Amino acid sequence: MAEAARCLRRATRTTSVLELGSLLTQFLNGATLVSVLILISIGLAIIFGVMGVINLAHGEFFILGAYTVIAADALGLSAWWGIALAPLVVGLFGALVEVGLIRFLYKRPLETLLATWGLSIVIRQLVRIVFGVGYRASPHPLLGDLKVFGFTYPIYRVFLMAVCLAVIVITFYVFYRTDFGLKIRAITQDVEMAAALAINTSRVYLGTFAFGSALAGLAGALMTPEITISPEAGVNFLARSFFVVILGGIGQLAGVLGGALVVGELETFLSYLISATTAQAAVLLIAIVIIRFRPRGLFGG
Amino acid sequence: MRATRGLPVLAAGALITLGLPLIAGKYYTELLSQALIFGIFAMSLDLMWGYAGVLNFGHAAYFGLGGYLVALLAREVRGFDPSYLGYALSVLAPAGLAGALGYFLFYSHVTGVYFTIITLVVTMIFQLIVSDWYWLGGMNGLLGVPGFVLRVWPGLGWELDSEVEVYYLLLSVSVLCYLFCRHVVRSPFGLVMAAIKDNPERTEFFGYDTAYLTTIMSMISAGLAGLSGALYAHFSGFVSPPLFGLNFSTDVIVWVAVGGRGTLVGAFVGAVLVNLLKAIISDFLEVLWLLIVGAFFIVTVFFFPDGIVGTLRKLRWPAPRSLPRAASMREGGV
Amino acid sequence: MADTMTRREALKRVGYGIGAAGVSTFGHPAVLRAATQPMKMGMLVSLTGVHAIFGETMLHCAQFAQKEINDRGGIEGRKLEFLIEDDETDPKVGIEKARKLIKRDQVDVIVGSISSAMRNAVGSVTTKEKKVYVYPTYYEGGYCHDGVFVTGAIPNQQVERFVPWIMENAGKTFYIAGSDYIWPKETSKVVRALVEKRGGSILGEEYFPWNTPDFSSLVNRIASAKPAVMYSLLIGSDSVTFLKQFHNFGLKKTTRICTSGVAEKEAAGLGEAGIGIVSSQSYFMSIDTPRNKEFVEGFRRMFPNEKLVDSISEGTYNAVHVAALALAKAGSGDWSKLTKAFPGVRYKAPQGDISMAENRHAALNSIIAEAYNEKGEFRIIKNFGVTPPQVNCFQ
Repeated sequence: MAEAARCLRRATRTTSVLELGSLLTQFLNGATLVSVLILISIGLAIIFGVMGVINLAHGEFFILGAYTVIAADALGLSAWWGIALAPLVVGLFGALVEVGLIRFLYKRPLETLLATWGLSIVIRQLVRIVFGVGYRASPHPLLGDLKVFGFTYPIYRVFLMAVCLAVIVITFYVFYRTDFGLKIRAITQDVEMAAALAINTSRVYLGTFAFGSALAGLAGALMTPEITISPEAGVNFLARSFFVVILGGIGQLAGVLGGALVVGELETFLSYLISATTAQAAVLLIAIVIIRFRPRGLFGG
Repeated sequence: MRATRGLPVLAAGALITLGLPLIAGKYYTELLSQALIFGIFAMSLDLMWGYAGVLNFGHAAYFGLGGYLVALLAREVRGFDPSYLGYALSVLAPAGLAGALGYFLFYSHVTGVYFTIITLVVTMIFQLIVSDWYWLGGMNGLLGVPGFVLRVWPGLGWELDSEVEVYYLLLSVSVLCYLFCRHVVRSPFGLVMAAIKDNPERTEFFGYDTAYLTTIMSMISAGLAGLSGALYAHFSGFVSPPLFGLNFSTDVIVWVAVGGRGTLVGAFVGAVLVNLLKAIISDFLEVLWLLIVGAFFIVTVFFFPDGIVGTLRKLRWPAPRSLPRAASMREGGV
Repeated sequence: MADTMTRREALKRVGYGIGAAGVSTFGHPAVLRAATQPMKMGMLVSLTGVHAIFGETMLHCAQFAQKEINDRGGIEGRKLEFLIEDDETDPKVGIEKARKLIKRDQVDVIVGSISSAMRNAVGSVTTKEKKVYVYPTYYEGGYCHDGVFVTGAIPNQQVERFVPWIMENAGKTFYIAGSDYIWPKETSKVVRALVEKRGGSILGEEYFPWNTPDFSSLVNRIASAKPAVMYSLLIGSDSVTFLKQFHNFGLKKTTRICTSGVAEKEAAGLGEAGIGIVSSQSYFMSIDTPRNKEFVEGFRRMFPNEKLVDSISEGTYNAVHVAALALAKAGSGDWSKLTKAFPGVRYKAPQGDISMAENRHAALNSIIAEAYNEKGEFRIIKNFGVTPPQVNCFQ
């Protein structure tokens, strides 16, 4: 009952709030969350779709990107350097993980799940030993508002969306317009056939894993000014991004966009009508229902 | 042949498990009791993961549901002792939930990774609801669940208040659960499950309703997990939202993997071993123990992909073998 | 790494302590043995998991208190021995470890825990086993069980003096946002009552689940409600995420952030976004008294890597000292004697004088301070002195 009353109160309040400006703001808020979800999930989706590897350490790759910015700041470099370096650092780290760990487990997808879970613990503890256990912060690289026709929105969030868009374009380009992408798609369809056609699968896997890791690192670096940075922070994003990938449909790049759109906008919109906790639960429930009727995801075949 | 070869191992195991509380002391007896509860929980996961080939990433949802039901009954029901009702509900409700999920998912052919992630989401939803709803205790959890009582008649029963009594109770429950699971996987139903795990399409072609059977298996698994949750609530006297947590769901997967999936006993061995090891290592290395656990885990995956029990069995019987498959070959194969 | 070394050394020392006690059991008469045996205290803190951020410093503060006590000759001539356990930020583990401390290590007193869930978990064990438990974190109040004592602040101590100050200095219109659990809801009740009694108004009140990644909708609602004061009851990482985004939206210029959930550790995670936040706690590191200087300097000498001490850590330090005083008063760890010994214990804490009240909670100082740099340091605005705890038992 209390919940219903709260709903009603919020609904009546919402009508008064829904003017054009606030509607636009609301849309942009949702779009930011969607961008963030895409940035985090896209690397996961690529690794998942191409290699069949469920990377439970993806959240830690994300947080390694954030700590690259913190490290850059400690070395006296600006946050922009940190954001530029993060994909390189984390991509390289991902390549090392692929060569040292994942490579041996190609044929055993569930084992990779377990091994990457172990890896996530190890990374968390190492981050803690190097950077300490406490929350960390670095100076904001781009504080201020974008002002258009009297409408204002934080410029860094707009930048975030722009980067997200760029990442999408680059990823699609790599997948659909390059030789490497062609090989990736060949492997995704039929590994044995691709290998028979003299595609060096292990090199493609290495490239894929490094690319996916680099994207996670970039996402972490970009989110540094907006979220809490601690060794444990990565886990928060892991479950949500898995969900985005599943909802969209595995092996479908467009699926990530669709999944993130549904989860992000729905949550932002619902949190206007009902309490935030109920909104989160509702989004998850709705998504399960969607998967019931589209078992291969929104964009799955 | 096999039965006689296994006999000394069985006898030694029985002696050790029965004799342990005499030398272990209060705390370690209690730790073992907890490991037994977790062992039942792990075994319930193994039923699905090891024998139906479906990994549940939110198995903690069933455990938590069982635990919370017992805690709620203990708080709300006055006038009569609800412990047996609690056990019954904690088996039936998770089984019902699993049935609903199975109807929802297996019937629309949502399996494999999709199923795994959806179960993860289900447990997240539970955690959200439990943390948000004050009637369910919110983040603070529910206190004051009574300990174990062996009730024979209203007003007549034994309160098991010593650690040793609780241990023997849980040991007998564990053995019963194990025998039940063994019966399930060796029954004709279990054999068909093994066939579904190996090749669902072909099994379906033979006229088996795979969705129905998988749903039944997941209901059995969920009921057992709920029972272990109920036992845990009585054992610890307290339930809280992390029972539904992702961490706990991962923990149980780890126990099964370490012990050896598809072996039933392995689930127990994994749960007991990992919990004991953690307790011992964390005594010496307060912070670094997690690093050791993580590394230990990667090593297990690399060098003992069949888990401890699976590897031991391979050493004894070099041919790859799991119980139902060996049995199904006797039946002429599917 | 230096931290780990000292901790391991400390552990080793504890180990030798046990060994020595074991040896001394032979050949000494029972009476003498009782006098030389150490007093055992269990430290149950989160060294791994989400709360490790607070747990590590809590442990260090407790170890500093232990050193002070033993340097002064221990408790009635008996050394104070610590047994340290990690609760992994998980109540399941908390219960297991509390049982370990009591049943295996036979401690007389357990000190520690951060979250209310963990307190309930540990408290359920100590109450059943008749051992004393001291809880050092600020919380929602109302937890009344025999043998559980609290050295952290409860809402009336954090809010009673704070809200009138806010209304005089920052404005009369409030917006409240908190994490979705009992502490924010109980605290906001007190805030609401005080605000409405003084003719102010609450423009909005919202609660959010743990680990919310984006608070921009809330920030926009605050922007359109235009309150003078944003009273944040978000906790831990959610608090940091929200306040960062609040700052990034540029709202700090028009709306003052007041909170009872942010102290040095959270402010350090905020960096520049933390500057200007006004917080109410029972302790801040920058309290300018000789007693606090002595505490901070001594602590840093022992743990050179520790930068910030917050009210939870100081509460833990006080908890060890208060428990030691009660143990000395009772003469033993016996439950019935010890629970009677706690009320009335007075201690000259770094925050100022504190004392244990009859209702098992501590009379603590109410201090408000403002974060003034990106390192998480606060400047004291006003010290209202001691506020007695008002406890309505409901848990």
